Amino acid sequence: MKKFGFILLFTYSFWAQAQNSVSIRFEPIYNQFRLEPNLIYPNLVDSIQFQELKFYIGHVQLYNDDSLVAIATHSHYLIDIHQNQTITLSIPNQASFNQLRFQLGVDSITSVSGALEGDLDPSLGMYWTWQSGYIHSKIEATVFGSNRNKTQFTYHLGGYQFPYNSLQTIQLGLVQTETIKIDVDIAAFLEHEEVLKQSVIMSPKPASLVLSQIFAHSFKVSQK
Amino acid sequence: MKSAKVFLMISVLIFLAAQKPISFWQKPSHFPKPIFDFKEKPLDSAKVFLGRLLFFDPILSKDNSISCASCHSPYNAFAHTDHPVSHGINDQIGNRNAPALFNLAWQKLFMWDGAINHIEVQSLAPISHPKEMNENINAVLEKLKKSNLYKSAFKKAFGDTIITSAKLLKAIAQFELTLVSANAKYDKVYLGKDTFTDQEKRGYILFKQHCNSCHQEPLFSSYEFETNGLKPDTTYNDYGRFLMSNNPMDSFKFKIPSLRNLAYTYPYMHDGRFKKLSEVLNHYTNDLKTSQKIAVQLKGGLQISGNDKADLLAFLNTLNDKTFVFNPAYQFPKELLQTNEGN
Repeated sequence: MKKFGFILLFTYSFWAQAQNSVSIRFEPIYNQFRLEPNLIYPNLVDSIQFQELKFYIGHVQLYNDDSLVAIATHSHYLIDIHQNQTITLSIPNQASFNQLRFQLGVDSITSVSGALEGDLDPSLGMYWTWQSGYIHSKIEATVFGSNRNKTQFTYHLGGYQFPYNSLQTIQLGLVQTETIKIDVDIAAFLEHEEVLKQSVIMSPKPASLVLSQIFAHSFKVSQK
Repeated sequence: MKSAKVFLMISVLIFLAAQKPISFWQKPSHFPKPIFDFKEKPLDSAKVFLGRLLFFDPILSKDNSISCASCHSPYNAFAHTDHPVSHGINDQIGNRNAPALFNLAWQKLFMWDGAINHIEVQSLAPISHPKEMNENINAVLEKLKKSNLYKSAFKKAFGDTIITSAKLLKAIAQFELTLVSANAKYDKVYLGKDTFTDQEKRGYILFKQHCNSCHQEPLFSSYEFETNGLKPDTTYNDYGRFLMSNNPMDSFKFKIPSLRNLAYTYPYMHDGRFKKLSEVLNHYTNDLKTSQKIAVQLKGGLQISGNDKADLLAFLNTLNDKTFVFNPAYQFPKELLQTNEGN
């Protein structure tokens, strides 16, 4: 009988510790279309083709109001339209959450920690070589105008030091599901008047900071 | 009797365990605490050796012609003697003097303008600079993966043959961190093992009076950034630290270099404009470009007479560390020759 009670207790504790997983996908979209490299997307007056679209998502956390429910395994994930990337978090069974918090970019402590591995490997094209620091978002696209003149956009956004610390903290309220899809609306970003003002940014500076803030507003929980 | 034996054995084991492991790197007793965290990232002899191979190997450059040592030669205290500014791939000329490499563990920021925040990511800059090695780090990794020498050296250093950029960068940094220069006559005098001549003593007093606030002993630099009154060179138009910070107060500020090993590292200044130390001293006494941003210590110029300059130079001569320059652990690794001969 004693033994049976022990097994029951063991089973219960196993059940109590059981975890559910939640997967999060960041999906760049362009006017409702899922963005893929080198396809040409129509626009109102012109069309656009993306060569690169990569960005760092860091410190992914699920919250229930103000209490922390789960933290992603890795500190940073590089989201790249050339690759499929799903971020998986384990949450305790029966735990609920109603908010997703994450950073767009690489925090300053990580930025001064030397040569790192994995998604933060400096060979992934997201590290400035002539000065230390990560490019947090790399957006390279060609716009074909109605007269077929090509315009190249090159935005390498980043900077971890004052006064150009471009790290963005994002909080999104959501309804609990096992899979969360975050739309990253690139069209809204590119059509912003501040973004239209310049076609090339390749270093930490005021414009990099402004565009990082605008880009952070492109992240929305998908309603589909 | 048996328990006494066991007790003895246990005490011997405890004694052995209490002995500190022989450290590959030791802080010179008269040096301050280094900035690099050796507890978090301890030096390892296999990583240091791999770093030394990489440091001397032109495989890092696009056409396999330029190594780190091309501009940072051990015989020049890892600077580039006789070259005002560095020469890179295809005989291209850069716009700054290759700095001497030593006592890097005490430095927070690297490069003349402090662009680099950690020694492990420093080598990415010269590897990818179009006028230096002009190579992509991924192409370097592909070349290394084909080499048996590197497969074996990476395995010894990191436990497997998977070659990554992080491992490569860490290894180069490990070798560079071993470059400690702390055995000049000055150091011996400091530690009571030698004495200054009268002239050197007079020079030391003058040094403390005129130089020590920026070139602080025992490292002989605060490694801060300052404007030292050089007239901007109109060819380079180099604004120094301003290019990194965008702060106008940083215009023409450059990293204060150490005064150690000056005999091996001429020419001087960020653009190598002075060949002789006497020219440097004359600059500070007679030739300062007065601007509001000049380092406060230099306002009005230094007041040093001709005789005093001779004494000061005699003292600076005691900062040359011959054992550092000729240390066999810092020289070209012969193993690289074997790979070039197809072994």
